[in-house]
Amino acid sequence: MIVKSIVVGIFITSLFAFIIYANGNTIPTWGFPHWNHDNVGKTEKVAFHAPSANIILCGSSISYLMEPYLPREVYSLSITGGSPLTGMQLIHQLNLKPKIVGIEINYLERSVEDTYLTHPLYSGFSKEIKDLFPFMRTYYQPINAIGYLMSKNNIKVRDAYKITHPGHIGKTIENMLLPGKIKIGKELRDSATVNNTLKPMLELTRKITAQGIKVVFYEIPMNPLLMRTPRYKQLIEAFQDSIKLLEIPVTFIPAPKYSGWKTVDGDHLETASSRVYTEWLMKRIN
Amino acid sequence: MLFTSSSFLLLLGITFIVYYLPFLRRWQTLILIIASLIFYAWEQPYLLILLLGSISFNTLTTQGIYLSQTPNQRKLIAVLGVSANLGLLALFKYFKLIFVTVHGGLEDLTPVEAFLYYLPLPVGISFYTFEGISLLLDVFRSPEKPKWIPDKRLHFWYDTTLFVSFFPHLVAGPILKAHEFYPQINNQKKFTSIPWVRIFETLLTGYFLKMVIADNLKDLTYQISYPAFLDLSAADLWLRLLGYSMQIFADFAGYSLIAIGLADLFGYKLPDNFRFPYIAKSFSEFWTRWHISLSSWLKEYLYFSLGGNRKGKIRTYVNLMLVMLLGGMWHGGAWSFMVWGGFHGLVLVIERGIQQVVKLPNSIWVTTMERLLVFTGVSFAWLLFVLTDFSQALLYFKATFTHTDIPFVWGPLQVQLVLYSLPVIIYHLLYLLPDSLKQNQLKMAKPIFYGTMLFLLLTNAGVPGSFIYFRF
Repeated sequence: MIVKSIVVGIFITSLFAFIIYANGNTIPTWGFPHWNHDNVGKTEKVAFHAPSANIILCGSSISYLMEPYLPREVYSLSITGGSPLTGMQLIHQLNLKPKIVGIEINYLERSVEDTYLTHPLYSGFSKEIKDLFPFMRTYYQPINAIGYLMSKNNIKVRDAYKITHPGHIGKTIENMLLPGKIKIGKELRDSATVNNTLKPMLELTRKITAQGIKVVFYEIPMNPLLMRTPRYKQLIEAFQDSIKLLEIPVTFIPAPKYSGWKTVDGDHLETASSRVYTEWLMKRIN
Repeated sequence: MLFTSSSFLLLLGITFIVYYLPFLRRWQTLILIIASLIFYAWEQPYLLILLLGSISFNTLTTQGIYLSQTPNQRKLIAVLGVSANLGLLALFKYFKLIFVTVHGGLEDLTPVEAFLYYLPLPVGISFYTFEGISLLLDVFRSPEKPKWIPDKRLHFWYDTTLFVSFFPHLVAGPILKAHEFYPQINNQKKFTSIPWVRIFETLLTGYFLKMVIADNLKDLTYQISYPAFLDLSAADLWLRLLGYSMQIFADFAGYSLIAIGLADLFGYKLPDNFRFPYIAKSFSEFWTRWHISLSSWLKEYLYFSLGGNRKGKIRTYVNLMLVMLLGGMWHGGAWSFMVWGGFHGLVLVIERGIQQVVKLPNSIWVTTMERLLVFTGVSFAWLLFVLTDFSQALLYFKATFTHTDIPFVWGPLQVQLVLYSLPVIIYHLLYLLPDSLKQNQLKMAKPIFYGTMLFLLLTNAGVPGSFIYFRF
């Protein structure tokens, strides 16, 4: 029974590998129904394909919304629910050599999300197995593919940010900024979290630039209410103080002054604004 | 250490090889103890102190019980032993809850209060405490020293260490009973006696349920959280509820199967923990199929001790409620777990009352309705595992009937929720097939089932998450 089962398993796997080899298609990363898959899928894409990348963007979900409008040679390591530090760590770990690394600063206070660095099917020895057997990569997962094909409406992960039912998720940030409910607007300067994340950011920036890569920090526009909070202003100040300590040339591209930006929930740009900002940033980042 | 981690697989491989080396056969118990202590201490070595302390205490107390001269002395030692075990559990598990409820907040904590409040919950404490109590009560109930207790004291401590710390069951069960496990120790295990086919089936199913089903469903049911679920349509809420029921089963049953398969690899038989729970026709039947090791522990050591159903109708109902409330509390230091236990206690009482008055016809429709009713009730109760704020759980329940104005979209997430739930549904439906079909056609289809599971393990494992029952 054991031998028969293994033979059947090998047969199905070989068939699947052949279909992938013959077809060569991958599910677009935005076909994943959850950001965990999406995050792992894109870290794998960068790990296996990024040697050809010109630019890699490291960010959070704020950068994620730019993905559909990025040129082909630009890879994204925007970790939804996570931090740009995860992408930076990955670039350093994998010793990748793009010409430019873009680092989003809007959510710098988040720490590295280890899940995407230590995923057992992704990291260390297993990465080599996946190099050898591409059908084991996350973005080829058969049930993901079936789910994608069977659904009548190919809703993408990023659609979760759209307001489908007024009043709740879509208004989270605005709600947090209301007088009496201010959570996100609190002072941040002395927060250990920021200090704990700015320090590794500096170290990683040093390491990445030592690999001969140009580093560009960028700030994505958000709801002006949010960008005027003491918390956010202090975050930017702490960041600017930090990059002075670097003593190496880095570029910072602040959010453009324009009142027309629209967000879906306070921090994530709406589709049209996302496209305009992405095109604007791509012109400057080079 | 997680069963799905590479460090665990390495430890397992080394232990397995050393364990079956012919010249080390007389040291098999010691080899398993060392491996188990490494397994437990891997991430938080200081927790070993507590574990070894608990083992030593229960060994000494058990010796005190069977060596005592008078029945009163016996009883006193047993009561002290059980109380100390429960006290330890309460300190780590319920201190926070009781403190916040009584104190009202975390302001002005004294250093002692702060120390106690921030004590982390040691992994597996709920499981090994109950196993310690099982040892004490098994010996207390036996008029003489049970035969499975070795004469030498050190030898007994050694056996107790294996009983409590044996790595397959240490952190999330199945909860062992002393009288079932001790007789298996010290019989030298032979490599040639390993039941490979059974282990292959058990481990493959366990890893498949955990890595492919539970780990993927975990990422699809995340919106059962406040306020995320407020945006979902009624159909979406029902679908996620179904997904979570399948996820919690796949996660815990998967873990239990891995534990059983691993123990089998070393010649030990652990009790079954799940037996097709979602096909239960009544809540009482559900509790003979779900987390069997806990429900049978509660029945044997608590329900029977309270008098079971031998002391009249009212006393039976009170006992049922009490056992289920405590069973709920066992799951964690939150009132929601008590409400969960209370819900199950209440439905058991109502069901028992109805069964004594009404006799339902034995037709397929009635049976199907009963099964659906039990499954729906059980699924709604799981909400209290995710939404530990009772008002939020109620809001979710209400929304499943009122969010009909929000359109339902059949997107990839919805398709995947169904796809990942299907294996668990099929697994339960297979149980309902006639025995002749199970023995013939299904037996022939086994290699196809296991081959497919192997394929999906290689290609479709989810992003790893810790086992849900680890936090209990």
